[in-house]
Amino acid sequence: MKTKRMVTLALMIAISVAIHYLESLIPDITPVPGFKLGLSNIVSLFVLYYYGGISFIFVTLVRVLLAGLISTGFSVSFFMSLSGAVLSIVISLLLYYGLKTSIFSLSITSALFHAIGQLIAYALFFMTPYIFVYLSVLGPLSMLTGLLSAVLVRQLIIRIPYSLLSEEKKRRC
Amino acid sequence: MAENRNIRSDNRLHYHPLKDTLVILFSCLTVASIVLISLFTRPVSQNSYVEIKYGNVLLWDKDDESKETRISFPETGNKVLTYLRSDGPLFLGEGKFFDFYSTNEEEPTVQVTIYADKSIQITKQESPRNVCAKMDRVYFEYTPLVCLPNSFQAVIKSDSGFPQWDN
Repeated sequence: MKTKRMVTLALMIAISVAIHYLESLIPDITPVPGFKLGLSNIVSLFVLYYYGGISFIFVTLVRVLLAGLISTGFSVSFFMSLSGAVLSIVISLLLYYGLKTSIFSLSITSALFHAIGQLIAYALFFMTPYIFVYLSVLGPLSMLTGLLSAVLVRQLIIRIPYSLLSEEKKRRC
Repeated sequence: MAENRNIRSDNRLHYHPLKDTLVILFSCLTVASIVLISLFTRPVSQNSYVEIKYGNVLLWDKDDESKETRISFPETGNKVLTYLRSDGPLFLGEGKFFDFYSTNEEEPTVQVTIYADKSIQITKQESPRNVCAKMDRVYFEYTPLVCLPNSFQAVIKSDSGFPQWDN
C-alpha cells in the first residue's frame, strides 16, 4: 500500500469515527431501536467510489471497530453494528461490481440491508424473531437516509478536486 | 476542470431509471416480506403476559416468591418492577451483577411499568441514546422494548403457540 493511499485512508477512518461521535450527540429523530442517520457511511461510500472495494471494506470495518471501542465497547450494540456493516458491504459490492447500479440505488439498498443486518444480530442474540416488525419503521427511514447519503457523496465526488486523488483514480477499476 | 469531467461522467453517479428502480423495488419487497412474515406469524392474542429478559436470562418480579417469569398484568392501575444493578445475584447467580450502563454515581436501575390496560413501558433506565425509555407505552404483543447497551428487553407475549396466523 502506497504511503499516500495509507494516509488518506487513515484520514477517512478518522473523519468517519468523528462523524459517528458527533452523530451520537444529535437527539433521536424517532425512538426506534437501531435507527441512526448513518452519516459516517458517507465516508465509506466515498471511499468505495474513489478507492474501490478493498479500501471500502477496510474503512467500514475499522470504523465499526473504533466506534464500538469509543462508545459502548464490545456489547450487543457493537455486534449489531458489525452485522449491519457486513451485510451492507456484501450488498454494496454486489451492486457496485456486479449490477453496476447508480450510487442512489446502491446507497438506499445498502442502508436497508444495514438495518436488516442489525436486526438479525439482535434476533440471534436475544432469540427474538419479533424484532423484525421494527423494519416497518426502520425500512422507510433507512431509505431516506440512504438517499441523503447518496446525494451528499455524489456532490462530494463532483466537487472535490480530482487532482487531490488522481493517483488513486487511475488504479480504480 | 477537464479532470473533474472524468468523475462526473462516471456512469454510476447517474440514476439509471430501469436498473435502479428494479433494484430499489426488489429491496423494498424484501423488507416488506420480512415485515409481513414477522407480523403474520405472531401468535394469536389470548392470555397475554409480560416477559422480561436480561441477555438471555428471563427475569421475574422480585416481589413474587414463586419466581414466575410469565409476569401477569395487574387487575387495576399499574405495577412497577425495578431492577437494580445489585439485584444481579438473585437472577444471574452468586457474585454476578447486572451490567447496566450509568453515567452518574447512583445505582444503575432499569424500571418497567406494567399497566392494567395490557401495555408496558420502560419508565427508568440510562443509556447513551435512551431509546427504550423514549418509546413510550407499547400495547402490541411481540413488539419488544429494547434497551441497549443494557441488554434489557421487555415484551408482551401470549399463551398461544408460535407460529400462528392472526385472525
